[in-house]
Amino acid sequence: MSKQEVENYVTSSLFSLEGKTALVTGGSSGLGLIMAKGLLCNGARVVIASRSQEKCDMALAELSEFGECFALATDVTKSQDRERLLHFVESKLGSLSILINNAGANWGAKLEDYPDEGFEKVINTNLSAVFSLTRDAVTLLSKAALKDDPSRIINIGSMDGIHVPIVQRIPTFAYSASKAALHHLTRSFAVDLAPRHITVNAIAPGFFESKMTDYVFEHYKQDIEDDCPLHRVGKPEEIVGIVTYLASRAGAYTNGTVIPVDGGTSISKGKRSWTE
Amino acid sequence: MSLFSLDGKVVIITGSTKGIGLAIANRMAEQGARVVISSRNQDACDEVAATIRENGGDAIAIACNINYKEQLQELVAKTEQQLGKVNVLVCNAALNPYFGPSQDIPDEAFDKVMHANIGSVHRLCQQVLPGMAETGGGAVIIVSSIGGLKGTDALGAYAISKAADMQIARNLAVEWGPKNIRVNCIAPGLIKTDFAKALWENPEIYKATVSKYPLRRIGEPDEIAGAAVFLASSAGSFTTGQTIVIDGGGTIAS
Repeated sequence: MSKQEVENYVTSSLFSLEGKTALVTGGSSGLGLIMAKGLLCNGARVVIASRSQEKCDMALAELSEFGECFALATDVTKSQDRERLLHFVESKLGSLSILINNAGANWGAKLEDYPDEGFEKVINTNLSAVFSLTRDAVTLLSKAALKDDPSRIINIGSMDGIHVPIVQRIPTFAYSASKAALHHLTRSFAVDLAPRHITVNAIAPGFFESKMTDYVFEHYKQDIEDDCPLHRVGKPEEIVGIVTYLASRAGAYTNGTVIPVDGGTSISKGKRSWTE
Repeated sequence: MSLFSLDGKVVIITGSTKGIGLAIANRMAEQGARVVISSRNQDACDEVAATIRENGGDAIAIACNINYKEQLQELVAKTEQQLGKVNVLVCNAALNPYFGPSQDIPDEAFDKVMHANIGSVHRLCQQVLPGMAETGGGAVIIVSSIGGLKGTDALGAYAISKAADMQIARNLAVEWGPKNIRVNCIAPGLIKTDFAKALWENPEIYKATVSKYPLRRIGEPDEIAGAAVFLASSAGSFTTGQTIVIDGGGTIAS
């Protein structure tokens, strides 16, 4: 990352993350890697987790330039992995003030061809694992939580959990359903955890450049831009911006919300139909 | 330059001599914006602008009663004369002349709410957006309310006007997105301002009120200002057509 990129990510006191500790699941690539960079650049100490040891190592090498960062290969759908991860976080960071549930999976197929195991895999990763990890992380989050500076849980939902995506022309039943459920799980957690001074919010990103979107961008970038009132896809700093807002003092009273960052795609009527 | 910087941006904030509007003005000035302080009373505007300047910020004062189209036009014209085209518009001023059931609201009160609250946002945007587009884009932030999200038996007309804000944001986001103008709402819950004094001044009423909110406390004006800075700056430059609810979880819990 260039000096200019670092500067793009740095913020001011209302938005400072100095002294904060953060865990980002799926933090070795895509939006997770970008979020981890943003957290580090603004003063937080960070643990990233992702399934592949190799990707963890590569990401760690990149991230360590920007601050104190640790990585642990973790499959968030496995309970022993989650337990190991939380012990790791405690030993490296002491407590946890920001949990970002970002790890996700997707599966696309026509309805007749959509297998049960594909559906289950997506629901397990995007929803069930978030529930379990969050439940088990509450103890660590409580340790860092203050009435005027609550600990923060940020769930990465999707605009596909708000509207039904048609632009990629291949149905993603489980993904949309899992993200819609995650948005509501966010609200349930927000109500339940607020008395413990932990806030819970979701970000619903639209299209950003990442490994997950390589395929659709290759085939449908023009359609994606046409459907978006801003006529473009998102930029890395626009994910850092919302995360920083939610994680800092600026966002301390924001609780139980789902904030789309999609250039207006999900509130716009769109230009095309499924059958086109 | 920081992700939340508003360096050199020309910002009009209506209703900015106290409460949420004032907090937004202070925080935007802190981020380097050149803010236009506006409310009905010129003296109050002058005082706030002077304080911001004393603290090292950049501010001018232009009084405006949002009920009158000519005054809205004048607000924009004077801003453009003194500071140039508007980069960020914060529609914060609103009124609520009636408290009680919709069945009994006088026509004049109903029309006044719609004219002032919805009409002024619509008219200000008409005045400002073409110039904003000429500069390559910008942001509009409408301060709505969680009142626009739930049914009410006492604040009907006000709540209608606040729900309308959210639709204005969606419409204008779609209409002006291609010109790189973003339009969003903030929907505050109970915030520690004069407007809501009756609900927080008395400790017993306060306790009863916040017991329904998950975070068990009232919000501070700065906790709205942070979202406004986010939406106005490049940190929020892919967010448009949205309403950000800031109520400590009050709306989703009831």
